[in-house]
Amino acid sequence: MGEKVLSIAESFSPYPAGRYRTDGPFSGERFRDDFLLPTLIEAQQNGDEVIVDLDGAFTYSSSFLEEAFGGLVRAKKIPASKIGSILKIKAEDLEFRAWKIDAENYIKDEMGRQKS
Amino acid sequence: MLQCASSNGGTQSRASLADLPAAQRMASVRNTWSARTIWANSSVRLIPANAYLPRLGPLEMKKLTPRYREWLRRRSLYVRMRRGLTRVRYAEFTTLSGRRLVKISNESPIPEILCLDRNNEESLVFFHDLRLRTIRKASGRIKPPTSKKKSRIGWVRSYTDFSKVRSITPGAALILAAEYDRVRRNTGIIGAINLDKWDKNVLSTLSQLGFFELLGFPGDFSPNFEGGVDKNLIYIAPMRCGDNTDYREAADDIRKLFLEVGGDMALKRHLFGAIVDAIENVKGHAYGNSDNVRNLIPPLWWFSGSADPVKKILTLAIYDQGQTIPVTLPKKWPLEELTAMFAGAFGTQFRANTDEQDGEAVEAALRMSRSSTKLPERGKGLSKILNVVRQCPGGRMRLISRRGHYIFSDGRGRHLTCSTPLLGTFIELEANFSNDGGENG
Repeated sequence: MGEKVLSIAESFSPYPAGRYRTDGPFSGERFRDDFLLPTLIEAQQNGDEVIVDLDGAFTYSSSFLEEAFGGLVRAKKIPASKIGSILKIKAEDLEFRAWKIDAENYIKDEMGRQKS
Repeated sequence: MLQCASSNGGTQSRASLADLPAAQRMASVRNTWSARTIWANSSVRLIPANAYLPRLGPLEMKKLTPRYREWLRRRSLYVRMRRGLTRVRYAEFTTLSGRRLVKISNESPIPEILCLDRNNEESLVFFHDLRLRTIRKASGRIKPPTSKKKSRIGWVRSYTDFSKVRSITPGAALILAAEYDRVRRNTGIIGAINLDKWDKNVLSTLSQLGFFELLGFPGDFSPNFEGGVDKNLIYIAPMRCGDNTDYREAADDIRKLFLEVGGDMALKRHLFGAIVDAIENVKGHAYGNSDNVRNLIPPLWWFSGSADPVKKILTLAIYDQGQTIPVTLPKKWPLEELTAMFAGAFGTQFRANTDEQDGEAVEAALRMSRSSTKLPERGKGLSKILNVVRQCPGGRMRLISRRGHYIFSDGRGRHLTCSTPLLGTFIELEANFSNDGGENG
């Protein structure tokens, strides 16, 4: 089982912000649809794991993280039950740990909402 | 009909011009321009034009045409000016094209201290007055001097004398610069009166903020930070504005502020993340969909920050000129939930069509935090911002939206409703990194 690292700062932008595409050029919706979902789908087909690296960005806003990760569950392109096994969120730098927890919580919260 | 009044016991009588003797008739006609005629005991005497006479009824008064009324007004002004009753004032007017002498009139008052802490009410009155004077496109705007010929001295008929300002804080300067940015976008021209007489500290603050670049002036009034730091000086990041969440232009300035204060980098990143949350709120909700509003007020946010390198205080502020939180609150929440919230938290009944509860409305928005879209995943912005401030050492927050103020300081928050509204939303976040001993950013 291989792993593919997707760094938000390097692959997407060091200045991620905004929820929808209309909010700005580096929105959560754009990251999810153009970067994260294609990588996840490919990884799912190949039986790989995707690691999203939060380190290196200037800052994160709650809307960006919620749309990118909570929105992943809402998009329903990948079964919610499989997201946990394919996707890992990484933040080695202490400065970004809190956002890692936030992102994981957004996935859990959305899964809870989908179930209810 | 000539208007005459008898001095006999104060009773009034009137006679036509034809009833008078010829000599008196001629004298009356000659003097009607500057004095009124009194006819008593067959003698005519003149009384001063400003002497009291009983008001005549509507039947006797000739109605002035608008054109004649305007002519009388202008003549009155001209006479007053000739007599020295109206003193013409001259000033130096600086614009993009250079400096010139102008005549000035209609000065708008400005407080000596523009600060939302020390002189809150007067500062808000000034900002409110500035918005009302400059919101219209057709009139009330700041116009170029009226003279077309180079030899004549033109007029500036509405101005604010900034030389009277002795102190301005970065937060107040941000609001001021944002308001003038709106004026510039609407009218295309702004000038400065008597720039040489402005206070040096005020010049420095506005210069660092980029106020003069906004006006298009050449010249740099910013203090020299080389060779040691003056304890009174603070670094101010240039004002940035935008209509979306792209904050790349501001990032380098924010990095410099981070370096100045040192401290825990993670907290500073989170503090700026809170500002990005506020930017997202502006983009999503602040301006609504009204074309009228969009035409008059550009749907922008304005951001700046400052760093006190001695006290290690970092301040970040964002301002928008949108619909304000008390206006959007009833659109976000059902009436019954707002009623329950106000009754439970503040012991008052919620009233939607009043600005007397703006303080409560702002605090309610911070506590409730739901988006106007009513989607469960949205609307965490305001409460997130407050949570970040709570985590910061010496965290302070000031939120002003219309008449509502929310101030978080020393671990406690309080709301108040001021008498003068701010026609927009201003959020200022502050953290003190002097004692936390964290890593240097």
